Amino acid sequence: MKSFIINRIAYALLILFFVTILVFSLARLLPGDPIQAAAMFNADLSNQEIVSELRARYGLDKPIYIQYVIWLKDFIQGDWGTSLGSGEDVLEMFFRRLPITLELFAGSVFWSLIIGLPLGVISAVKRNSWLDAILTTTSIFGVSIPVFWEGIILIYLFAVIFPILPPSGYVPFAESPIDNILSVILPTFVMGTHGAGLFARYVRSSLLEVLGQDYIRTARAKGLREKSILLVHAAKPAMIPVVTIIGLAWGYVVSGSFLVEYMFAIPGLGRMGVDAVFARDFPVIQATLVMVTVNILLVNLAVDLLYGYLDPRVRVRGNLGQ
Amino acid sequence: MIDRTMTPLLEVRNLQTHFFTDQGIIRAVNGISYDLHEGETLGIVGESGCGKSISAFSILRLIPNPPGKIVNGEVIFEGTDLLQLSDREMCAVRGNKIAMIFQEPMTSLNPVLTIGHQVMEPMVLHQKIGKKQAIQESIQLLSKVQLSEPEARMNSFPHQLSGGMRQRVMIAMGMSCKPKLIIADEPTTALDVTIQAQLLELMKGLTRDIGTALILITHNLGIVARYADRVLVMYAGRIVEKATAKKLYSSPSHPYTIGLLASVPRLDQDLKKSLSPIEGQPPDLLNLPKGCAFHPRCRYRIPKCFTQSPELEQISDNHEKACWVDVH
Repeated sequence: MKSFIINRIAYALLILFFVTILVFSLARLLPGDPIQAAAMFNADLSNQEIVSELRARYGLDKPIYIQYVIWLKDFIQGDWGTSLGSGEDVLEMFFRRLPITLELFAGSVFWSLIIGLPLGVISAVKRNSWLDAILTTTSIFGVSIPVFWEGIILIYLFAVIFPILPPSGYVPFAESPIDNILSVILPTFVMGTHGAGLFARYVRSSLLEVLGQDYIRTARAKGLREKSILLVHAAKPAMIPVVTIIGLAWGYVVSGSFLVEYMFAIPGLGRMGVDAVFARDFPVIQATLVMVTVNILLVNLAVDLLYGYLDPRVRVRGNLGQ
Repeated sequence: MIDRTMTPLLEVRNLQTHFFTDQGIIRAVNGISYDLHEGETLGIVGESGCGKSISAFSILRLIPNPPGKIVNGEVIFEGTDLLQLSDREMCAVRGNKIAMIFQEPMTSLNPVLTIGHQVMEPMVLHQKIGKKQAIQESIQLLSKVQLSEPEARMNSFPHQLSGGMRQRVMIAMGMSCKPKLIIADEPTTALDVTIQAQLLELMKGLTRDIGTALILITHNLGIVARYADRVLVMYAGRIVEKATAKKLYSSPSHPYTIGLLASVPRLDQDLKKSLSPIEGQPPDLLNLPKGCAFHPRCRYRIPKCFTQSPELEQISDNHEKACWVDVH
């Protein structure tokens, strides 16, 4: 198990190395550069001399591989540069927004699980009944409904017709815990709808597969009631594919949340990343992409370890994910 | 010895289990009746798909519904009809009064739970004993089924055990509440021959010790000859011959039984003599032939076999067959 973890970490670091090269070059492949972009909004920057002086100051005149080495060294040391747009420290910017996005993600997984899990279990237990048909239709609706449409409808319902929730904005937890919770209910619900539908579908099919196994028949033959069969004998094996889905959802947290962050005016990482791309704000783009990669690698590692917990056969083989 | 004058432990009366599929109704068990006395071992033999396993699952009502359904009959166990019990009452019988041992030791144990947990489960559930005592009794059970290092095995997972060891665990699980009846569905089919013999001896010994009746479902006639007191031969969902094991082997009377026996190699016969298989294919249960279901493959058929299905009839003491022809 130990060598398995070390193995996975080494593997993750290698991937990270290649991703940093890719991220760095991709940003440079975009047409235009940050000085040009800034020049569009600032008349002082029409002067060529000032432009080239600024290029030199930000190291943009050096060969690209030198730029990469300098950038990587700084990045590892925690110097993520300053935003070319706002002049803020990128590291600070990132970690100020991280908790907001984490909260959104945790909230959306909460909704997904609390809605998706029971729907999936009921569907599987009552398979092929009219109830199953209704729940299946509902979950497919949840998967297919567009985020912006659902967002608008919910804002209209719960902020305009019944004004119980704020239509947009974000209140930090430290400022007012209650307002904080109220401000994230709608955005997290909108984000969680898709996941809820997905979970329901996966839980249903995975539970159905497990319930058809020989060992479930053995459990029935022992005289266990359906409830204990579900909770003791079926839950753990059925959770394995569901954990994969949570892991995947986690991987999309930044890219998936930007629509919602825009719609509800929440200053999260998704918005920061997308804004940075439009502004050619290289330091911010790079930091965002690298951290998204780190995030995905960490989640994959966590999912692998969780597999080991759920399935003792993995613990021995120790070669999951290959 | 088994006292046949007493009320039987189990009376199966006209049991019919059908599967309702898109292609039509499969009459997997089509009206079978038999008795089983305390401490008796009953063998049920037949080809794959003849309904022998389904008839046994029906006793414990373990038929997946839908598509399966017990449409008719009675299963009277210790005086109560199991088919009339509520689900809750049925759960109190399963694993407690009647236990089951399945065919596939590789897939019949839960891969994510320890052996200890799975062996203890029936005791904790039905006998309401504490966990400590359950652990002690489980270790004893595991050593009774001759599993090496029973204490260490309590914390093992099924994938760490061989097929034979897993089947020993299944037997321990079945024995854990000292049931009145154990139904073993091809318990040794998936194992190699030496292990088969060991496990059958073990089961025979353990059931004798606690006076448990045993229903042994198999397609291996050798096993039945050695371990069963009485035998049912099933074909296409019906019983075609019912006899004590001795009589079945000394004077088989149904053409199907005769065919089965002729297709098994025997050590007391000239090895150069070739085996004679039963011609033809097992019947298509969706589309059973008219009359006697066996007539298309029967060497002794007469015109009546094409139109009328024979019922079981007594031909001597403890010997019944369902056939129009006297074959000897």
